[in-house]
Amino acid sequence: MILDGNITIPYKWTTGPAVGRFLGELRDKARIMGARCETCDKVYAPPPDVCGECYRPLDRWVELSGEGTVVAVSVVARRMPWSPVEPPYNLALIKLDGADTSILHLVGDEINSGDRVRALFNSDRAGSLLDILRFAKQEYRDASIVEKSQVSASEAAVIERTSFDISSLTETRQVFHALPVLFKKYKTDKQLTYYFSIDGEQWTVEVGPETCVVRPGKVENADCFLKTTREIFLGTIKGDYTPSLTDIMSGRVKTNNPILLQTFKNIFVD
Amino acid sequence: MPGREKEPALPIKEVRGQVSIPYHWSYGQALTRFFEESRDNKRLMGTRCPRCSSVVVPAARICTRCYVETSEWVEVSDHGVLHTFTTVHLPFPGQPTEPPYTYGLILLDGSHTYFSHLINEPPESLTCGMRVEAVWADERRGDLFDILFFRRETNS
Repeated sequence: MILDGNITIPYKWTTGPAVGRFLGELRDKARIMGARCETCDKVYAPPPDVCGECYRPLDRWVELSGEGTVVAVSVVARRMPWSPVEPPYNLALIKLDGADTSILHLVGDEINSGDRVRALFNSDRAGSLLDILRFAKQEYRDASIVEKSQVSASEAAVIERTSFDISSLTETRQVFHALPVLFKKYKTDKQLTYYFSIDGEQWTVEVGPETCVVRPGKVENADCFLKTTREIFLGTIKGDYTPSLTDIMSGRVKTNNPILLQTFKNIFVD
Repeated sequence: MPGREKEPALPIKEVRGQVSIPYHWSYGQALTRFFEESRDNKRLMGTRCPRCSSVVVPAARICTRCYVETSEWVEVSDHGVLHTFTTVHLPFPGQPTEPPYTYGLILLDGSHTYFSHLINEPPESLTCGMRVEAVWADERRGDLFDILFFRRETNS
C-alpha cells in the first residue's frame, strides 16, 4: 500500500534592500535595475546587497535596457513542485546589456545561445521575477508589456502540456534540446559522433556509453550523418514513419550509415 | 532609456510563498497489512516478538525493543488505557485538525506499545489511566485517520 501525501510549508522571505528595490522596480516601473560596485565597477542584475568580490555595499543603481544576449539555453522536461510553468519549458541565462552577471529566465522554443533578446513584462505585476513573462526576440520591442492572453499559441501549448512527451514535439530544435533528457545509458559501447542537417538546420550529437553532448552546428568526420526533411526526421523519431527505399533513392534521405541511425534511435527513443 | 538612477520604486520588503512537497510513502509489508485490516475490517493488528513476547502496534516487521523479526500476527482491541496526553494550542503546518486538540498515548488491550491518537474529550476531564475507545470513520482509506479519534469508554 502507498500513502499519497503532501507537505506544504508556507514561508516569508525578507528580501533585503537590494533585491527589494529590484523587485519593486519590476512591479511599479516594469524596468530592470542593476547595481554597480564603485570599487570594481561590476554591475549586478539582479543585485545582492554586497559586492561578491569587494564586500562593498552596492548602492549605485543603473537602469538597464531589458535587452541582452543569451548565454545558454536548457530545456526543463521534468515537473518540479516549484516549476513556474508546465514542462517542457526552456530556461536561459541572459547577460543583460550593461550588466556583468546573467539572469535566469524563461525563453520560447525559438531562442538559441547567442540570440539577442528583450524582456517581456506582464501587464499584471506582483513584485516577483515572473513579472517578466519571458525573454523574446527583439522584434517584440514595441510590445514589451503584454497581456497574458497575447502569449503566442505555441507558448500557451507549452504551458498546458502536462508531461514530457516526444510525440508533442513539432520542431527540429525541440527534439535536439530534448535529447539529453531522452538519453539512455549503455545503449552503445562506442563513442559516436552524429551530424544532422534537417532542412538545412545543423546539429551535432556526440554520444558514448554514459555521455550525450548536443550542440548546434556542423562537425567534420562524423561517424554518421543524416540529411533529410523536418517531416521525415520528426516522423522517424516519433516512430510513425519509416524511411523507405524510395526516400533513399530519391535523395530525400541521405546517410552514410543506416545501421548507426538505428543505434541512434535505440539510444534515444526505443 | 538606460541611464542614471531616476525616481526609485517602492521596495518590496517581504516575499510570501509556499513550498509544496508531494510524496508517496510505501507502507512496507507489515504496515500494508495493518492498514488493510483497519480500512476493510476496522481491526487493529499487531505483531508479536518471539523473543520478548511484546505485541507491537501498529504492526512492525522488527520488534521495536529487541530488533528481531516479529513472528506472529495478533489482533488487539480498539479499547485501551490512556497512558498520557497533551493539548496542542499552537497552529503549525501539517496538523491533523484545528488547535486546540489533545493527543494521547494509548496502551491498547493486548498490546505492549503506546498507540498515539487524538482524544476527543475536554482535556480537564482526562486522567492518566482512564479507559478510552476508538471511534472509527465510516469512510476509511487505509491510514491512521481510519480512526477518527479516541473517546472515554462507554460501558457496553
